[in-house]
Amino acid sequence: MKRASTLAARIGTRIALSLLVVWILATVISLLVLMRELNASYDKTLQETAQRLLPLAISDYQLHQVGILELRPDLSLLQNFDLGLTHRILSDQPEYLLYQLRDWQGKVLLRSHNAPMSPMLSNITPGFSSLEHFRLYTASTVDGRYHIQVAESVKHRYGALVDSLILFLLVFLLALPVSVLLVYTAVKGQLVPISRFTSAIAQRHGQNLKPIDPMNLPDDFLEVQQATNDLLERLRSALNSEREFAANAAHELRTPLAVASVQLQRLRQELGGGTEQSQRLVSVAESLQRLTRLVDKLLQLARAESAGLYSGTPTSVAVVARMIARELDPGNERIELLMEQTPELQLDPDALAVILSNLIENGLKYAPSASPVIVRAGSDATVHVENLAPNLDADSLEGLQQRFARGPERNKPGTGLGLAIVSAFCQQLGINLQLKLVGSGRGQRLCVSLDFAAVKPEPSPALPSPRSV
Amino acid sequence: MRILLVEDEAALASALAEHLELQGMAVDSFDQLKHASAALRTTEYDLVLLDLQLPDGDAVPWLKQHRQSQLKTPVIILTARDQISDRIAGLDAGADDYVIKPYDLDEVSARILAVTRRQAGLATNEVQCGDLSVDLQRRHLALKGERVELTAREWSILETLIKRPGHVVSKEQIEDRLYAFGHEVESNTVEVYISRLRKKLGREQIATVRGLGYRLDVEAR
Repeated sequence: MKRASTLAARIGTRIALSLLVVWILATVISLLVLMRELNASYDKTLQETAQRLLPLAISDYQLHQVGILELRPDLSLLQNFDLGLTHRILSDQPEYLLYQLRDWQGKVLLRSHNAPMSPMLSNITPGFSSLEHFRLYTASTVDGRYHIQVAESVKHRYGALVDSLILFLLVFLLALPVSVLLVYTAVKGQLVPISRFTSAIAQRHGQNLKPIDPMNLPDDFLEVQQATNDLLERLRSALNSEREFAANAAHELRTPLAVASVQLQRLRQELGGGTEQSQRLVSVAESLQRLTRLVDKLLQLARAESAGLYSGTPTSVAVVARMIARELDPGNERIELLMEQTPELQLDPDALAVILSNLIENGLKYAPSASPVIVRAGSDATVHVENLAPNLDADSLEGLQQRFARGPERNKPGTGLGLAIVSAFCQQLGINLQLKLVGSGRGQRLCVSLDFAAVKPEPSPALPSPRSV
Repeated sequence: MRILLVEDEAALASALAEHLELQGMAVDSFDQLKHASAALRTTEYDLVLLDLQLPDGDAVPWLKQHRQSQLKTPVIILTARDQISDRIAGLDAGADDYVIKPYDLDEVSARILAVTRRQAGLATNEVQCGDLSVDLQRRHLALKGERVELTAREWSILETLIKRPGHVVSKEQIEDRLYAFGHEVESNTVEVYISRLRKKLGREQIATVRGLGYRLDVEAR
């Protein structure tokens, strides 16, 4: 038998099996009781029949002895007297009943036509005896001269029992499936809140850590629900504090960098160009810039984990893209935004900003100088970032993907980290990220596609409508 | 121009103030929101430079509140918060622009000028190049006030030129632009489109710089 896997099926199977066992036991016991009762009642009838037959048989025998019965067969009591049972027994040729009238020596004096010539039982002690195929009762006259032995076929007797057994089985066969069905339905009905609870848990993920609403659960599951909600709450607060930490870290790290940078700029203004000191300051400024970029990227990477925790209003791709374009390309010289049908996404604007800014930054850095970086938003929740990439081949594209799939490459600051960050965010948010090359030669373009289809707004936390079972 | 600087990092505030004063601006520097509020009540400023995280609170609600009580002075946010949601919140609260720390001092003064000019209702998306007036956002081009229709490729090329008016743009740069939009580029494509543009805009608008490229030959205002 295939192992039942759902709770309803398991409970249903167990109850059905128990029901089967109980039913079989009950049937066997009732049959045994019935058999006893039937035996007793048949025995009583047999005894009565024997006792009634005895005087009639003796009378017939005596008439036969004096030869009258041959002359006047109508005098036979056994043949004529309507004595209820006797009549039925004799005139209807009841094959299951046979008798022998015997004298005190055991000799057979008279017998029914279906009884054997020889004695059915050697002794003639009054009472019941059981033969192989018959149940036999011996009745005797008080003086002990005559004995009658009436035998009833066991087959006949048990025929009634078999009938009863068949009846029991029929009821059983009819009632068992019905009761199994009732049990299954009842169990399944009772399990509806639990399966709703299960699917509510299944809906929880990085982007949805809302506590699970009470849903009429049985008491045993309330604890599980409480524990689950506590766990979700702890996870959410852990992610939140991670987020807060990153935000504070950003402020704390950027402020001293800003102080250093501004002081350095003042120093350079005061020194003017051309001196050896001002040359040194240039390299300090460059280091500072690199440090700033590195801090930025590391902070972004640190945020990937908690990026999914967003429950605010939908984010407009166009608004975010415009802000980033303005920051990365203040002169509006290279970034082209094609945002005719911009999707609104249930997505953290900061996460979207990190993804887009890294992709656009890479485009600006690696595309031939002054060639545009095109950001195209489709209405079908896709965003493409395209730029010329004449030197990239399909193999290195493969390598690029593998590289960021493995994780950040820190020996190439900026690039490896940038794609690693994008990849981490996309993974966390369920965004499908694809890189492909379009065109060939000098016109070959790298097209990075973001498919946000999986980031569609969460189905409302309302419970799925209860299905009828 | 009188500027109110609200910044709690003393070294940052002093360097920025010095720089702006060198540009001929008068700077009042405060390190707390309540002092800034007091200053706004008593003095007419042309612009506010506002740090977001100050010892006596978050500047976003502070700004929102002042905007609600009819503060008209333009505000530029200077923030060390790197998240775009913070910038959006700042703009929503009524800031006119934002600069992210660490910033370039020249960038800050350029933003100040841009914001105050915009406040005066001067700046638009339109670029004026002699007789040409171009709205890059709406893709609208007029020559001496008359509308000129361009094809997508012609737009691509004009945009490249108009973004660097007076500068030479190489043929390769123009080709890259066409390529980037997925157009096919033959060896003489650029020449063909340049000559079409000249027909529409007038021969003298686009100059050929032999061996280097092309130049939109009008001073942008």
